[in-house]
Amino acid sequence: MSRLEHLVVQDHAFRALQDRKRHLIGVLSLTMVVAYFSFILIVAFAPEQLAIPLGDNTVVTRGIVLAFGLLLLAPILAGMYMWCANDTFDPMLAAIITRIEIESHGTEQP
Amino acid sequence: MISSSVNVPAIVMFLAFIAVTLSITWWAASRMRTTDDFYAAGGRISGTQNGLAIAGDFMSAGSFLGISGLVYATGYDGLIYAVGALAGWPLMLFLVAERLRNLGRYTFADVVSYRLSPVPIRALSACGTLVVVLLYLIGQVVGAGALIQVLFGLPYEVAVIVVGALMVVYVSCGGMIATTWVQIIKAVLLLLGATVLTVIILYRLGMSMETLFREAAAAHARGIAVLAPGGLVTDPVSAISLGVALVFGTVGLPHILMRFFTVPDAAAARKSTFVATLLIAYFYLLTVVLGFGAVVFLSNNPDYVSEGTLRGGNNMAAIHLAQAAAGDLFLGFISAVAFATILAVVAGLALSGASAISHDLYAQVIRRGTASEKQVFTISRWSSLGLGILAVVLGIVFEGQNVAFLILLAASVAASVNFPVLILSMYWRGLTTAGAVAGGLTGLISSLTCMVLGPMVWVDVLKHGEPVFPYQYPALFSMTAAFAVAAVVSILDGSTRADAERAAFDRQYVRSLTGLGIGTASSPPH
Repeated sequence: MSRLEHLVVQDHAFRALQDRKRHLIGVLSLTMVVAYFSFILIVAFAPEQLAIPLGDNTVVTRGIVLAFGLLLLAPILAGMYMWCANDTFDPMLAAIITRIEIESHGTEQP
Repeated sequence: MISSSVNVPAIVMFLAFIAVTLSITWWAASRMRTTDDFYAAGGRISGTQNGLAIAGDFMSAGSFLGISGLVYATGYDGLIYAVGALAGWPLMLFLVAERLRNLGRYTFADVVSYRLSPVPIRALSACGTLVVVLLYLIGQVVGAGALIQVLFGLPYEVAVIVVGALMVVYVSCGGMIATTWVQIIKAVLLLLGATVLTVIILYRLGMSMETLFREAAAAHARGIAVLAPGGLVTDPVSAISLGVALVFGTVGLPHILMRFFTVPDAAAARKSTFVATLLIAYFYLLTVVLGFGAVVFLSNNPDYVSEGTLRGGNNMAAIHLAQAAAGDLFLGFISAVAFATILAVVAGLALSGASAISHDLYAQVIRRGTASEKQVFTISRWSSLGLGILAVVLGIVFEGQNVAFLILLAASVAASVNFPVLILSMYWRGLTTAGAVAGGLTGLISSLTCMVLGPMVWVDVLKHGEPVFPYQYPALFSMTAAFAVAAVVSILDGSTRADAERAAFDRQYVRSLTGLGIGTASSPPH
């Protein structure tokens, strides 16, 4: 591992950033997995619940709304992470690396 | 009404598509100077372009025709399938996209072997890749042959040979540049065609989804039950196992993973995945609406239905709908788009297979890194030819077989071999070479065996009485087994090599998150 990499992995700001990122990824991943597998379990255990219409004057069932909702959920969750990571986390990471690079050159006195 | 006679507008349009894509291949060949260009398009594909290409790779004719066909047959079940196929994409973004891009160069085996021993790992990854690719290929080629036979009046063997030949040309002459642009064009055409057809359908139903569902319930044999789950998922174990195959198999598809190396950095990799997720979600929305539209316009229409079954099978639902709703010209367009879709996907698969053979097996396992770029390049061209011939032969052998299970098997293998090994190598310090190989092999053998011993093959194809393995979808068991074996073997591995591999995790960790010091396809490693 190069010196720069060594410094980066031990840096407090870097670790804090990775914790934030890991937290976000965990929440979003769990949301998608729980949403999907809950849906699947409903389909397996209680499909009649999904057959119930939304109201008296419509044929659209709860199941259809739920499934379409999941189709929308996926790109929404994906978009949330992408914008967070590209617009916030990446610049923060770049700043951290730049700072570490400057500091490490500063300590290498000729 | 479609007969097996020659469909002129369709042939004209697909010849135009072939002409355009061949000229792109010729252009790509002229730009191809290095292996970086061949495998990764020189790293110059943008995030949005790659998103289109990735979506294109995933939106196969199988999913377009298959899901609309499933909706036509039983209604809501098609939605269940679509939701499962989409659900893996956010996970691809959260867990894989950026780390893969930061760690690898051409194939996901690069990533897995980053700190582990290259020879056994690349052999395993290449196996996982080739099994998935071949299963997927056979499924696509058999479907293609049948489709082309019906749409264009060509004999089945001719159709299969045409598909195989074009696939070889695209891949060996144009590499990743050609296959990427073919995918992008096809994705645009497919989304455009599906959007137009959906708008036409909805227009004829007063732009009301309510009317669509109401009329579908009225027209379908199952009545109002068509808007709720049917018989696709009967018991919780099968349900979860199918879900596992769809969700985690997506994350392990080698020809999709390859595309992450065509963009310059992690941000572009994330953008690609987001764009792909968005497009695929939109695509599935359209496909489901088209399926219900097919129920409304085709179910009781004697032009398309004889003795209660749809002419050409349920998979023809979207095609028939195009004609019923929008005339022969649009039928020609949709047919050409379906053909383009097949071609683009088999080209992507073939490139993935060729790169596994040349970059992983030949360069690293057989030649142990001593081969020159030129030699590896030559092998990749010969591999694509070999895969093309194999695909044609197997396509002819499997003519008329029900190949739906092949795609599910491919997904199960991807979920049981590629996914566990990839995820563990990136996220778990404790993974060792021995663990990865043991886990991967466990996943491979168990998924294949359980599928063969299960109802789909043992009973339906081999005609035995009772299946040895009771569940239709093995993925839940084979994937769990792979993770478990990988974990146990890694933990028990006390060799010094294993200690070194665990120690190397920090370096891999930093690189996977920051991209520091990696070789991109457009700038060499430093």
